[in-house]
Amino acid sequence: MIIAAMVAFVGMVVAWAILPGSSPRRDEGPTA
Amino acid sequence: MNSGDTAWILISSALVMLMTPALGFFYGGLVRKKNVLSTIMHSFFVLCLISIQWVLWGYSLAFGPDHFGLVGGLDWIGLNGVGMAPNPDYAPTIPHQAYMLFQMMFAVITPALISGAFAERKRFKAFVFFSLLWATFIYDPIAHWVWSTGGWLHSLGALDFAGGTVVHVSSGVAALVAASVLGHRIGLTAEPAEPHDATMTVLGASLLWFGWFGFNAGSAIVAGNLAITAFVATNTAAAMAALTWTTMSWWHKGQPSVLGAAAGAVAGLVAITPASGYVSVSASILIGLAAGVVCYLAVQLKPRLRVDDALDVFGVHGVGGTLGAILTGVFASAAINPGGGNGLLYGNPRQLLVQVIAVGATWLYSGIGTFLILKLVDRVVGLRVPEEEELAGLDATQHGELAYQL
Repeated sequence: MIIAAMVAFVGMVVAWAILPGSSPRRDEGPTA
Repeated sequence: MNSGDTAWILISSALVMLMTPALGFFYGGLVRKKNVLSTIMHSFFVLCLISIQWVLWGYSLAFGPDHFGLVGGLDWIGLNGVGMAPNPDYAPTIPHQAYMLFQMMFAVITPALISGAFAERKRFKAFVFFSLLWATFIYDPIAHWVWSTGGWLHSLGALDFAGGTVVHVSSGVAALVAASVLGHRIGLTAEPAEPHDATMTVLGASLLWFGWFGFNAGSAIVAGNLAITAFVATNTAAAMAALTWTTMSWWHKGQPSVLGAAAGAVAGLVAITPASGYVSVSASILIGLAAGVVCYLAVQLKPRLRVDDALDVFGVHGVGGTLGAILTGVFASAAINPGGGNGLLYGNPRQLLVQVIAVGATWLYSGIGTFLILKLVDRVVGLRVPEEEELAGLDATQHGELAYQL
């Protein structure tokens, strides 16, 4: 049961990485 | 098992839970109206995110069986073994799960505090990954150092009644680093970063103050004299700091600032947090006074740092937490709490040294760790929204919704 819960949460976190979102700023900005 | 203690901790947990959405309103009022929803969302989403992280692995890392004084093991993952039987090391009179729940609310609000530093320019996706990583690799170990029975700062004798170092120093320093890494907001000349709704901020501060009684008095873990001591100290310091900040702004700028009163109350609450169960009422007045003066000056000096800490998280939480943790080493009295010991004022200079070590270690670990996490998140998903989205506002561009349809 714990493994299933862990997979559900971590799976959702991974999904957030590929879900649509605005493009990051990749210019001469302060994080470059 | 004590039913009175259990009831008090459950109520305190609910009080501390309320602080996180209250923080969302406190911050939400301070940003421009095009970013209010995204700012509130930071706090609300963290409440959900860390609630799950905490029961799955966060509590185990923070409070689980000790490994080298640095971090808890994974023995309690998924709350395995954390049931209704009390844990004699942490809370002998209440169910272990009640203690876990109370601590969860501290883990929730700490990453939410940082969000004020990078308001109005951070991608939501980056915020989510940063918060999860920060809670796991920064908050959980520091909580273990200070509050776990085997933690190295706990063994050294560091005093932190309710989270001066664990919550406020760690988040305040992280805020300074985050603001520095993300850089300044753009377009502030054309559209100054004025608070869009001061009433929302004052309401948020008031709810924070209300919830802080659970934060500090609940940290007594018993419904007894120590909770009352912490309750009185908390209210006293908050009130004194609000009066002081208002007076400072009145003297400095010619008018008694309403937002200043709200910020001052929060600064006092921050500063009394580590001390609340160890100091007298008189000391809490002095701590509130010091918080009002020092945090006000820290916020005024912000432009010299050349860092766009949008909502003054470092000036209030980093500076206020550091001040409170060090003053705990000055004003702590065994007559107030025999379990805490004496500070400098009562003949124990070593306590002050220990407090400085605890603060220094938290500054270093949170500062370096936050920088590394930010660089990792930037590499993977990118930290900052594009310029045109920042100018349009994060509510519309990140969430597709607007706060006001007026």
